[in-house]
Amino acid sequence: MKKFIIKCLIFLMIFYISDLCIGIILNHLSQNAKSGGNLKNNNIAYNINEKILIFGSSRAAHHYKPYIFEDSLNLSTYNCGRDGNGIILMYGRLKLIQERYNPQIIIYDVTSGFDILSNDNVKYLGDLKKFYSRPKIMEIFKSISSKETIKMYSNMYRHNSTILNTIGNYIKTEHSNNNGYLPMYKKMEIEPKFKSDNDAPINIDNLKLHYIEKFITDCKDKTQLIFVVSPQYFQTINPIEYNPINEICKKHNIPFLQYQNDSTFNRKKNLFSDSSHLNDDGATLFTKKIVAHIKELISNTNQ
Amino acid sequence: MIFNSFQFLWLFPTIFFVYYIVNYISCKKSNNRYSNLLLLVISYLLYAQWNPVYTLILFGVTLCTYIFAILIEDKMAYGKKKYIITIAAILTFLPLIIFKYYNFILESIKELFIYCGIEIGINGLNLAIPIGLSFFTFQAIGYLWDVYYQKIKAERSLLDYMLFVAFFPQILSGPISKAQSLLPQIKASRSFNYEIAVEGLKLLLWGFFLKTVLADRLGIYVDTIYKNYEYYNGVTCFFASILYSIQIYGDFAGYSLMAIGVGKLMGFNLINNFNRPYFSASITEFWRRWHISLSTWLKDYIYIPLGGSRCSKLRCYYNIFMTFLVSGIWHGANYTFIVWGFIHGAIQVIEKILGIQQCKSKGFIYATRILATFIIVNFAWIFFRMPTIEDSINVIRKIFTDFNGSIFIDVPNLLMGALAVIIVFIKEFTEEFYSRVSLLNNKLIVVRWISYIILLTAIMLLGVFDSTQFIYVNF
Repeated sequence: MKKFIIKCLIFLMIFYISDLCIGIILNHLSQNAKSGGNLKNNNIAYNINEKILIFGSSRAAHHYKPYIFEDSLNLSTYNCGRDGNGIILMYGRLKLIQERYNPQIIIYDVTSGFDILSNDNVKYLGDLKKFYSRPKIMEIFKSISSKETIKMYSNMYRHNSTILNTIGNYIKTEHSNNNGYLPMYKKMEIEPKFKSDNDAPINIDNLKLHYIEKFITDCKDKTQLIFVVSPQYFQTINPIEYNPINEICKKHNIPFLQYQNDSTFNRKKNLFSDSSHLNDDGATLFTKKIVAHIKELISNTNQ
Repeated sequence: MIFNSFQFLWLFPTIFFVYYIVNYISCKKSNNRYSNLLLLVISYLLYAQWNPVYTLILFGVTLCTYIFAILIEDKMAYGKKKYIITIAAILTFLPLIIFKYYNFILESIKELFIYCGIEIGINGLNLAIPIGLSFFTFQAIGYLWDVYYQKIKAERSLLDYMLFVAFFPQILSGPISKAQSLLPQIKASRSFNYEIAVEGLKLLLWGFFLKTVLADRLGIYVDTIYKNYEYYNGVTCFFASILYSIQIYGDFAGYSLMAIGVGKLMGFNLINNFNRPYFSASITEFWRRWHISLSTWLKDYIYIPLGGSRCSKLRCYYNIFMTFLVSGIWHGANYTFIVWGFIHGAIQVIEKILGIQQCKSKGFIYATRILATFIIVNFAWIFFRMPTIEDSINVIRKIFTDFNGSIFIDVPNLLMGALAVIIVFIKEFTEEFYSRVSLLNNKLIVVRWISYIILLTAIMLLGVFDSTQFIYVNF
């Protein structure tokens, strides 16, 4: 038994050293990414200083074209939207950005699945893992899962499931300059199945709503906030799931613009790539619409 | 306690050390009662984590088979034994039938009556199935039948028997142990054995790799495709079916290996459950390599009592067919599992008629037979995976008719999955055909330890540790 325990301890020590070394290498690759999600993540944390920022899920990333904001409002714009993510990541990104500056306007595109409804919040910590050493980011981890904070002792675990992306993002150089916007050019061909969610129970995630409120209070007197629900292919028959955001926005006097039932977009296959995402044509049309609305809001505020 | 969970990482080492401390004290007194009692308490506490009330089901099945086995042994007259075993079997299977099959049987009867124009207003039960119910029920009933057929003596120690049924490494997903194999190990004094413990760790490591890196990684792609197969073309569906065949192997074999590895670390040798099944040259051979403990159970307690092959040819074919029908039903309360069992039974009957399983071949023909067997098993798995027969047929129809568009590829997940598949294929291929070549069992300690480090690194970087990873696709 003594031999077994000693050998196990030696093995664990060797593994710890390799964990450290591989972690250092992957951190270096990640911090020096030249393309992809890692480049965008680094830009948001260290480089961007645009006046208007877009936050939200893939619906933010694919729906808002920065150059239209810049042309119409004469304000630099960056799209911080991230596929499959919501307020947990966005709050983390806000804290990283606020360490350097406060943007003039933040447009937050709300997606109920990632910003309101209950699901496993651990999945939203992926892009924050490399910033774990920052106190504000560590707090987010602690609030979601104490198990994750223990797993973060492993340097390799921080790169779990992302190693190929990390290597790819390091090798490939990105040449496009869409300021974070991710265009989708495909047009819908198949009529998707409409899934009625009237009878589905709505489980609100109080932790997500807590972070929405923190997002708002941390922006108070520094940044103008606008919450938006961008268009989708099907009309929402039961918008009750957005009520919590509605109430929070009313409480803090934040504009909440809802376009999910806008007939300009509903059931228009040529404007959508799939039932949840506008294609590039749809994004152009929508961005122009939202810019016009924001112009009005800004001029009302200035009056 | 699930082996690929965070809880296992801290709980199992604690159990391991406490067990061997108690074991050491027990051995000094030449009495392993305390270490068995400790294992029993741990097994029941771990089971109670899922739902404390269901420990009563576990205890009930255990007590029932324990008492009836003693009654069977004490009743010498054959006629009374038959009645006792019948009552015992009904009582033992009752929880399984109620929790797993009641709703299915009720819905089937309702549909039949609706077809005849009669509506029945009986509601189903809303009960969660006690975890591991199918496994420990079969293990207990196997023991009962062994006593009935006088293969073993009835166990008189309730403590030892309770541990046999509830032993924590195997209770959730097997392997299904035979009393002749496990009970003597429970009764024997056990001391720590370095070589067996190291073997256990290797199995645990390899099982963990199969589960988290191979199975769960491929599962992300498979789930994406099968959830919305209508939106994907036939090539994508076929590719998903291949990956599912690999996924289910990694999942099941991986978990079995972890259970066997944990058993070895505790000083127990559990039955090996998988023997590179996708290198089988016939479906008959497949069932000698896949879920070995279940196929052994089915052979000993269904096939042979029905007459086995010691009867007319027609009767033998019937026996094979019924055995695999039972196998299908055991796997799940759905017609898809019955169809899956039907396919395997029917193919084996055909193989027996044609004498295929006795043919030995080499080279190209052997390789072709392995490929053909894999394709048949692959298509049968579609019925196993899909929620309804209609969905299964739709997927198969798509594979053969829908060639529009290109295959859906999710590069990051598939690349990681491909790496895992390559590693597993190389290991299993060399074990099958070049058994002298081995990395994990290499003579040189440096080679072994580098292999362990590489595997563990692959697990940390490529493993799926939670249910939150997904391919982000919309329609």
